[in-house]
Amino acid sequence: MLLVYVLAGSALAISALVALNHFLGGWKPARIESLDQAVARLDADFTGFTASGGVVCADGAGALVEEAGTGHLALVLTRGEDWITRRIGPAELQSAEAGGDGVLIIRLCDFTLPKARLAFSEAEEAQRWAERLNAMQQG
Amino acid sequence: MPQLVDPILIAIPFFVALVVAEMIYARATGRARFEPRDSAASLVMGLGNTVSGALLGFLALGWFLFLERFALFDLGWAWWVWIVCFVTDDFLYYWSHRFAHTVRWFWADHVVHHSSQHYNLTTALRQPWLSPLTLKFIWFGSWMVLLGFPIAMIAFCSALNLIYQFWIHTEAVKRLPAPFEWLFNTPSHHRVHHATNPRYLDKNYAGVFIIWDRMFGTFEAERDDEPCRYGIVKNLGTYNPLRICLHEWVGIVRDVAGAKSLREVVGYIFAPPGWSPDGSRGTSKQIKRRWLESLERRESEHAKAAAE
Repeated sequence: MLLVYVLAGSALAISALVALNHFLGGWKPARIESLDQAVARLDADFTGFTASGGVVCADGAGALVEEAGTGHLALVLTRGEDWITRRIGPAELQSAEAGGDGVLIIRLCDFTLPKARLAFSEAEEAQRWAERLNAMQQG
Repeated sequence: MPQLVDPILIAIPFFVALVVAEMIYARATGRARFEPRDSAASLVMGLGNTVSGALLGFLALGWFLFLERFALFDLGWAWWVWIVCFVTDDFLYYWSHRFAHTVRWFWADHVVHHSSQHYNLTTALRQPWLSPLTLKFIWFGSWMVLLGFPIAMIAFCSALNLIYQFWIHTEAVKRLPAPFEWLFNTPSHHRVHHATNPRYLDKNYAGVFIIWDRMFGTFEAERDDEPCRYGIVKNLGTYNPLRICLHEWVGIVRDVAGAKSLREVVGYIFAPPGWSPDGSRGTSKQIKRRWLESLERRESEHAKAAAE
């Protein structure tokens, strides 16, 4: 019986704490300001990462970076006020699909990041990166 | 045998009060970070850990009750036994924790605790749900029962150890007086433990006494010129508690399914996290080596540029 009270009390406390956190505020969504910033983060996460090019999404929520010498890509995404990074080679990629609205959807073999959404300012750019990713997977 | 209560149940209201205080402090000073979705995930993981402990705790308890009959001594309940029990439990915690970082089977469970990119008091409560199923209690919990410490005393001391570790999950406390920092695990030491900077990887495993790290060569002091980046080497793209709980286990299953030999199967399960047959992923040791090489390369480039 004690456990039931503990569980009910814990559920209430969790809800109250999350509500308080929300009410207090104080965090702001992360934003990728430049390609250099994305590359610096990749170098921090994957020591020695060398970029040969890339693009930052118009909304600053994502970036795709080409890794020099490997033909692979790296993905930088914002998540809340933090960033997550992934190296993408043929084994990590399931598919890439560009929509007419400039949105690129990348599906990954990744249990905690199965799908990434990148919004480009031009549909052609999204299409170009989708083709680049799909070519990497097939090649 | 004295009647013992579960100290964690008593501590829960204090945990909640301290989280509230830290949230207000974070908002007022900007010296700590909270985010609702991350906080919710951590707190739900904590609640799930309590539930799984109630549901699966019988595994460890049954094992210890079985083992008790083979105890070498009957140490009883004298005051000094309590002290020896607490210190011995902390010593074993150090080793258990060290193996939790260096053997993927145990890491698959413990990674949950490290999976937030935030470092605040809710992170302390972000705990795994499947710990008893790793059977870690057999390898690290049996010794004290075999020595003859009463099971209830061991459980009580382990709970005190966990309660101590709650308050060190904060950025609000910078450094404490030097003698305290020398002897005890502190927020500063534990921030290093939660950091993914190559310099800080696999350091400061202590529970209460940091001296174990000093003795066994795993101590690293926090540096002002290298702020901690929290989380794990491959940070999670989800706040879903089930995915947080299972992600490394799913990784093991996928790797084992694709293994080409028995050696690879064993490596994927028991080698250090990040191990792969071709070395392409990177264990902590490999990451540190690459980082040192990169550091040396940059320094020699700087020296060359300065000479020119």
